[in-house]
Amino acid sequence: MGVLMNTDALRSGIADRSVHVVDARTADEYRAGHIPTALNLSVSSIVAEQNAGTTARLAGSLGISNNGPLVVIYDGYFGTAAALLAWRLEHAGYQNVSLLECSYANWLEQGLEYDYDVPDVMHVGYSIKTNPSMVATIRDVELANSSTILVDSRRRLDFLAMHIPGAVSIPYRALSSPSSVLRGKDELLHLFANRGIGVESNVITYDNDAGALSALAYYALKHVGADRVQLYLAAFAEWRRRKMPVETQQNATYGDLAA
Amino acid sequence: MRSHPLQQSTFRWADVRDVDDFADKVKRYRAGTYPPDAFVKYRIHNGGYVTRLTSDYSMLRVKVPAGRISPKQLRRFSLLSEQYSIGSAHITARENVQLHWVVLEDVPDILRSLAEVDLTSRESCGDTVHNVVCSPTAGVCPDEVFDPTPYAEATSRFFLRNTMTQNIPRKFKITYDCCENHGRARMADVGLVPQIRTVNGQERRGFKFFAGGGMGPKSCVGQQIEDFTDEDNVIYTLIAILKVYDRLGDRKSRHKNRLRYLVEQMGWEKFRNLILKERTAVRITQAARVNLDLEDMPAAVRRPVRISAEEVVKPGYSKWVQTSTFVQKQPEYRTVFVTLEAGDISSRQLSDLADIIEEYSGESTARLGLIQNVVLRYVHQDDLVSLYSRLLKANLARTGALTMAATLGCVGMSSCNLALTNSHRMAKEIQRQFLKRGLDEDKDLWGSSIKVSGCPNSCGQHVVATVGLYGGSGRNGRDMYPAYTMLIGGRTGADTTLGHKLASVPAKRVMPVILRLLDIFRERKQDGDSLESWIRRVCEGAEQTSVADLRDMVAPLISPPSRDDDPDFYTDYGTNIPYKIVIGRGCTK
Repeated sequence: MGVLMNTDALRSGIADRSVHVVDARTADEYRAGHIPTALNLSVSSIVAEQNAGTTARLAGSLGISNNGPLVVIYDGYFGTAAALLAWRLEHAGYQNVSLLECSYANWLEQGLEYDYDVPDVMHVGYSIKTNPSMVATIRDVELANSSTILVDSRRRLDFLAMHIPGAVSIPYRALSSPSSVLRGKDELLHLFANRGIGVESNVITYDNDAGALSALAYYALKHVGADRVQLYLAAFAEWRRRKMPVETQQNATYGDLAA
Repeated sequence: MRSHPLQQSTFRWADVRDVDDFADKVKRYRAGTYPPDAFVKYRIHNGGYVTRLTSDYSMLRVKVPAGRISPKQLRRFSLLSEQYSIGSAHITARENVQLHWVVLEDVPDILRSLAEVDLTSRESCGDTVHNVVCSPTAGVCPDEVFDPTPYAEATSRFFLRNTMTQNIPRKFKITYDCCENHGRARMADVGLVPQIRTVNGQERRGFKFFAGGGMGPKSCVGQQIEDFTDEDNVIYTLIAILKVYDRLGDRKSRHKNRLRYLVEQMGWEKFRNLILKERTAVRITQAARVNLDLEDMPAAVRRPVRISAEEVVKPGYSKWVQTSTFVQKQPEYRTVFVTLEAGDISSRQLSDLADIIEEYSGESTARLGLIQNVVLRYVHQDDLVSLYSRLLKANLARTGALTMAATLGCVGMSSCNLALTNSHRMAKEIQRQFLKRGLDEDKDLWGSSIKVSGCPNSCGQHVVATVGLYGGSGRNGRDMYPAYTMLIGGRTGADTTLGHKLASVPAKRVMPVILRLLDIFRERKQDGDSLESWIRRVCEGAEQTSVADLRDMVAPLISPPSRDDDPDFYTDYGTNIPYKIVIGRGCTK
């Protein structure tokens, strides 16, 4: 299954009822209009728990099972919330998960249909088959040798202030274009190549804590065919908490350049 | 064959061949097959300036000729600042837009994206002709005799990629003013002020032509080559100056090889005569007739059609109108100055501004200003209330844009190798204090300015400010602290004057000293005085109070406390580490 689904494919999928559309925004945003047939599984409801069981239980309560139709996820703007939800579902054993190529904002800009209807759902049971190979632990990060590239998905200023030694900076916004949550494959490959990353590379992505930014990076890498990707789930927050070494850009007050 | 820029006609203003070349050079540099020194020279020439104490990052300086920037270009900066930079862009005092802390390898991708909207960083730095500046009020200024913008833009096009200017002794800056009062013609290598003359019964356009000015460790006011250089002669005069400079300029000492040093070495009269002689030779020997390729400015502007409900006047409106806008020579229109903080503008603000320009400016484009600001022109007077509300929402409606509050500050320690202090933050702190105290409302302070540099190299233009500051350090026993040399009485315009040194002021005492100066002024001013006119008389010795008196009066404020009493005194703004001098190399290798 491809990482991205385009709008035409989604609209046909909606028409022939072959997809589950999932809106990862908040309940309020969802109520104010959403893509037809979309279910609401707000990413904020799962973000606090890193437990695969929670994700699976919530998905089950919406009638989404891990061997059912394709699940297509979207969010409001940047694709980060959608990516996090997709990653959590895959981690809990869901195999048929894609991101909608555009955000809901783009969807509306294109003049596509939306409604307010909340579909009836039927609870389905859930089973959890976690996929531990998707996760990097602090130990994996610590022991990463030079053949593994650490990708820091936070904003550039955060990276400059402090990052895991040896990490490279790819701010999550560099992965998107104004019209798509992930840029074209050629552009992404180029961006990754500029950081020494090829499709054969071992990569670990991380962000500050929630995993939304690093999940987008995770899917950007998958999108271009880099399969050896893991996400450091406990993130930089854990790294800091454990007082692990960090690198800092010193003797420069870059933060004062921010507007 | 005489050097003649015919070959540039095969290039676009922003050309992808430059981009491909840059990408290739970065790869070879990283692979160790391109010498580091040659690479630094190359990247700087192409606008990829060095970043403080690292070779992993670059500052990318993008030229905006005459400061004329379109909404589309602003939106592109909005996108690129978020994708590749720090989420905001920086607008400079010479009408460039800078992206900071960009990964060096990403520069070609950024350049490619910029080329799509006709922007280039080529020759924005290095030993060549930098961005050609034009007063942001050109075309709307009530005092101007004609709009110099097409001349500034044509000059930019003429020199970009011109073989004549690819390796001159040092950088070269050209600026066009709208009138005697709104610009810096006398503080550039070449400055031009529009004039109209009747020659043989015919009205001719031309310029007052200045040369040899500039700001740096040794600043210098430019002198007049001619009081009227006919428009047909402008390009020949420029070529003559560049040829003489190329031939005779010092190529040994980078610290002393701007044009003004050549002028000093030769003496003004000799220099001027040589230029005029050279111009005659250039005129005769050019292979083809060379002229500035003037493009017409957009025809008559039209007020954008907007359907809007009755607007509520938001608080602060009248103060904003009074201190951040002025009436154009087209009386139903106003020019609106959007003041930032030391030129920094967020990605979101850039895209908001693009929308606002399309909605409110009759010319549907904006100008970058001379003090790190953005200027919207042709705003219909009836749209001001609504525009103010929109700017407020985007956090772009600061008051005091045309007052002393609008402090200019170079990037300093936030990005520059040469900085001794965090001048960027210092400028922001001063502006915030001025606005917080309502000093932008004080009419006596209008016409005055504050400008801050992080070192003696004057990127913050401190020499032409009413209160100018440049970074350095002070010492109390073994303890060092950040400090600024404070100058007073500098100004631009018809009587451009360099500031007089007042004192070395610790960074954390700059604001108290400025406030003290304002108090002294209020006590001693005469009827009708502004701070500017009073300080001018003080500096000229025409007041009872002398510069030395002022120095004595502020002295109690600047003596250093012990580190135990006041540890903050020994740190710069934006950091809590005790001050020490750390600098890298500039473009000097």
